[in-house]
Amino acid sequence: MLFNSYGFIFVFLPITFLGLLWLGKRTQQGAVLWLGLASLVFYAYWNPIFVALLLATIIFNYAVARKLSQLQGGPASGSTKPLLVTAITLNLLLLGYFKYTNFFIGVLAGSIGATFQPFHILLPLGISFFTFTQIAFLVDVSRGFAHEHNFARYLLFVTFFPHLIAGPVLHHKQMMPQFSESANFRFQTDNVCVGLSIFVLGLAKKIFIADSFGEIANPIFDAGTATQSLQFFEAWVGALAYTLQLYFDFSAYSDMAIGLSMMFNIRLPLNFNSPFKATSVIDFWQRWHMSLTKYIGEYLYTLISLKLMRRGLGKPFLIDTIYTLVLPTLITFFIIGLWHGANYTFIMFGLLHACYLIINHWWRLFKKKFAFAKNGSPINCVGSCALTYCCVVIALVFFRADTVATATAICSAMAGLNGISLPATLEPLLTTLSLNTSALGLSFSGVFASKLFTQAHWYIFLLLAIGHLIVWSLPNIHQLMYHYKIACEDLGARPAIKRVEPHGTLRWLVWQPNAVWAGVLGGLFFAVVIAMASNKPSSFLYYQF
Amino acid sequence: MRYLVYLASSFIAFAVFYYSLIFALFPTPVAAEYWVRELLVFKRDIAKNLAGQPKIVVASGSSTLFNVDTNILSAALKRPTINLGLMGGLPLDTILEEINTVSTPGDLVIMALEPDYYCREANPGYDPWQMRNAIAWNHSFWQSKSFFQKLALIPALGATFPLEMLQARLDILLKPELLAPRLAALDDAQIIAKFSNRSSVSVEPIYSIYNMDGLGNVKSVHESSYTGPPQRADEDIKICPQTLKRLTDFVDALKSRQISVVFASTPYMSFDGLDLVKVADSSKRFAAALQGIAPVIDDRTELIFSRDHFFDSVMHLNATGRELRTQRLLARIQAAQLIQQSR
Repeated sequence: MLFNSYGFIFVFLPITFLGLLWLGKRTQQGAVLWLGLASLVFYAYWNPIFVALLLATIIFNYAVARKLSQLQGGPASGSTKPLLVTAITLNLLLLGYFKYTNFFIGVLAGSIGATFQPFHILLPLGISFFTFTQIAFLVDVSRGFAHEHNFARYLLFVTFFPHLIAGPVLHHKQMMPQFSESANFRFQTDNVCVGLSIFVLGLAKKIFIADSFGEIANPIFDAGTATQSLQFFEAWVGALAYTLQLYFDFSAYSDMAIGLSMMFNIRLPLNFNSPFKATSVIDFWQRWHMSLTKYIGEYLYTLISLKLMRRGLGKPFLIDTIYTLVLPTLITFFIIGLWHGANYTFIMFGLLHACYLIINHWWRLFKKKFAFAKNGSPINCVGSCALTYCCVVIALVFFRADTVATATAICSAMAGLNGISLPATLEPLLTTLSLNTSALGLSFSGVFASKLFTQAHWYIFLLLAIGHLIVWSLPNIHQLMYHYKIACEDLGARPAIKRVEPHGTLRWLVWQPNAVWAGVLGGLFFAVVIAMASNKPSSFLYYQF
Repeated sequence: MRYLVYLASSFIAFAVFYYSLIFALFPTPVAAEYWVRELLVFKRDIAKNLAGQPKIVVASGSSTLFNVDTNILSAALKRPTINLGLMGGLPLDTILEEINTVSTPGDLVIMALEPDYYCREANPGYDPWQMRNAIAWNHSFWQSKSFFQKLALIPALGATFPLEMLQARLDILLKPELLAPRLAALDDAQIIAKFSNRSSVSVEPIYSIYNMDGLGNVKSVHESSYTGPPQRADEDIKICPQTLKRLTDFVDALKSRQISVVFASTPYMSFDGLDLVKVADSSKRFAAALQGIAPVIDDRTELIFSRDHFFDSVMHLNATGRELRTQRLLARIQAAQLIQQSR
């Protein structure tokens, strides 16, 4: 079921919400179970058969966690490793079967020159998310950091519908205390007001903004797949449009997930914190898909770097950084790339980011050592932000393209290797300047020579300009809801994420539960509901991961 | 709590305002495909001019417009033949309604429907295009819907549609010359007069009646610009039960008016590896499925054309393809002695 569907908004959500309120007044356990079962219905709407798979993994992992808890606390303490390794292996095998079977057999067949007809394997939605969530839980149980004896709560932890399909990746430490709190199963006006408002804003972002960029990006990437030669501006427009599409799509999904959870008095972890305002790639990964970065950092990167660090100890600087930085980053981002999908393009995406990060870390060391560049100046910030953005855009070309060949073709066009087509009106001007236009690779067949776009040129440029304006100048949802704790990171005495209050003229954008905001969001909600009827229903891009 | 009340009130207020504007401003000549209305008026007029003599009607969405030259059929069969090729976006009901309007007792109707017409139950055609046309010119479609059906269909027009209606209304008042072509397309007499005075120069779109001859055939097109994939001649056409029932009732009604009906296939594009045995089997299954309603006069195996016979889509042949397809249809009509039977 899609968040942006009538069935979800007008049937599933009200029934689930009212059912929870009714049960929440009577029995907390019943309310937890209700929400868990509703989440299974939400999942079943897509493909009922895979509910059995989801339930099987939940029951299996719950049973393993119970056993691990027993081993952890019992006399046979210390013998958790074989069970943990077996359980993790089984989880990964399941994920591998659905997600990577065709890819790896294809690679193997290709390497020996054999032909391979891919198996018809349907990928269960959200399998990467619920597998990772459960593996983390098992690891923490085996370390003694977590335990859960209530199956209904565990079921809800894994299946809670706002996060089930596309994250964020949940950590039991953040969620279990909230599911244990009886007050969270009662009607709380503030949370419903805030949650509904965030949901409406996310929905509008998805319907009005993200999908519009998809219409511009798709023909460019399709043309790239069809080995049609693209020109400089077309390639850049396609790459930028896809970057914005993914940004707004993911941002919209994250907002909707947070908003829906808030309505149920549950705070999800923040997953998206204006990533394109990042001034370095290191900063970018602390703002983009934050729950995944945190998960990978905690359960993978640290493990790998600790193992490798020992090998580099006492070695020269270069060798040392290979063990402490280069190898762990390459391995981690290879896995992050592969996590997104079984294709060389995702591996390239991961490896590109690994290279960016390694260079970024070296640059920081270099700067520190020679102290020649100062941070903080506006020019420095803008330059760093622009450079980071360009790096991300290029990596996202690989992320979106069907094949590495398509991605490299688009990147070549972005580099101007296919020539630059300009409006015919510029030809006389450049001729009078005595420029050798053909030597410069310039032609005058119009900005979009391939005629791939159905939209007017001015509309495309205006949309891209508005998209970037929103990305760089408007506050994000965390800032808009400055007066409210909307993420689980805000719950502690010392918030885990620093909140920046919008300043100057943007201050009036901070949400307040008043008639003006209600009027605006009510109108926006209606407009979105109407737009949903005229647009084709589109799923979120992160559903495919 | 007050906030939620305000939010809900705002939602309802916007909804009431939106629907009220659309109901109040109906009908309005907003931007729509007026050429489709011209097409319907023109084809009805051809039939009107042939009143009193038995005729042949070849009907479908747009494919017949490009795939059949009824001049060849008229000359060979010595019976006027109307090309009732219309437009593929029109719902099946509209196509059937037009066939019913133009046919009279003694006629032969050849229904060469595009394959997807046999199963459009999931998408009955109430899309934004259909609704926009309903408000602009297809007023009978709009009026045939109940109040609640209209409430459900209107959102397909999008959130800004009332503004578009308002602008069109203002244009009628302030700049009527801007909307003159749309208003002219609402007047049957003007359409026919304009057709009579048409020039030989092609106009846009290619499907426009001003590119057609007196029997409704579109002007010959020699180019071959279609580059997309072929449709699968070796795959079965999906026939939905509801459509089957609708076609059965419709054909029965025509037969009760002494109108003969047959089905025909649309052309297919050949491609490497196309298995003709499978094509023949699929064609037989299609004919068997429609057997209870009316016979299918041709076999799909004889309707496989090379890519260079197609014009701008997999459903439209160019002039060379059209001539070939028409000759094959003619041969089938003659072989089945349909003209003698329909007398």
